[in-house]
Amino acid sequence: MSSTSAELIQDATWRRNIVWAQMLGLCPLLAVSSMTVNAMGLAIASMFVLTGSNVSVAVVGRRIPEHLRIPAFMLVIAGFTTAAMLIMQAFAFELYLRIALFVQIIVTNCIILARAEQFASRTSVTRAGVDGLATGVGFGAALIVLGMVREAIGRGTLFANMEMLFGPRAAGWGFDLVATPPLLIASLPPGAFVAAGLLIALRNAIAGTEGK
Amino acid sequence: MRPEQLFRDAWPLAALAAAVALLLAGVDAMTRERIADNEMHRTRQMLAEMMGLSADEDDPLAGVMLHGALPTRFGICFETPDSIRRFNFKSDGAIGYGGRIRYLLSTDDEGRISGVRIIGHVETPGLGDLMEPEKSDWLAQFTGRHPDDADWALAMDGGALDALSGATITSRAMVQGLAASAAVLTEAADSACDYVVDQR
Repeated sequence: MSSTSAELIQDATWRRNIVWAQMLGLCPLLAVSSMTVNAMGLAIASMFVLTGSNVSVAVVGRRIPEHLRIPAFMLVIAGFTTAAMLIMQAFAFELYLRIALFVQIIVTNCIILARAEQFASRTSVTRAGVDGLATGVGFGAALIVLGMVREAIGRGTLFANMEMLFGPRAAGWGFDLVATPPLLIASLPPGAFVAAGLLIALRNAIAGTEGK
Repeated sequence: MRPEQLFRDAWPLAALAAAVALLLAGVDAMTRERIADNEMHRTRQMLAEMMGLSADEDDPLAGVMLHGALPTRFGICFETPDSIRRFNFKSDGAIGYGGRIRYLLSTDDEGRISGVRIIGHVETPGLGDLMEPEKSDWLAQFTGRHPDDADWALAMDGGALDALSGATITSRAMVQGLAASAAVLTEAADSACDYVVDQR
């Protein structure tokens, strides 16, 4: 519990990265990562819910009786998830229509409840906020990297349809890498498993050379 | 656990619930209008597609219908220098497997279906949601058919319409719902133009 903020961030984004190291939250990860823009949308929504719920849980933390903690935390997480859905519908409607289901099930993401229960409820508001944001960044990075790999290999494009998330000015951000999609299977469900497995292996190889 | 303790414990939970409700009320107040605008924009795009309006314009019906809920039955008249074409629309719903399937339907003057679009639904992902035009072309099979035709039924019920595999309830709901909606449109046919697209 005496780790510094820097250690906290390094832990949450790399050493204990919930996807690459703990292999949690794989359902939305595999389903949404077929394109970078989808992955980014879910990454931002997850980051928002994680940070919001971590901070709120740290604020109320010790005032909630022990046996009511899980329902109380679920209430907070469900509240932030609903807020994320409303905000997305207002500002990224097209994208919301495509990934609505996976935004809704952020509420059941075990990572968020785990961070609230194991960490945020026992620490200061600042540290809970830092941890929420860092865990969210770690999850988001895993999502976006997988999204980029699958989009590049499966569709031959990168950052296509970004205007769904960032408005009309992002319409030209996407570019074609190759004219014909190299390997269509990468955008299909089996490709998600293969690509995620290879990325996890790569991460382990790098982490292994650090003497861990 | 004694009842007094149960009651004492309930207060923090109630206070937290009130705080979350307040947060959501705030977010709802800030986003409600934009969400309604976004939904209306999408509905207008669907209507324009169903009328075959040019795709080079982003939102051809933007000046024609702006805000608020659509009537359940309405006519859009398309006026060009030498003709007036009327499109009959009905926004309606059918009870599917997961709940209400909301759709837009248009018919020609003989009651033949000229277009169907799904506005919203809660059918099973991977099965019932294949009715969305973005996911499969299942919905297109209704276009050009008349609900009074003898073969207006799912193939398994002796008709000519395909069911979505694994989603029989969804498919039946749409077959029956569309027929009922089309019948209402035909019976109540009038020549009113609720909205006018002026291309003169």
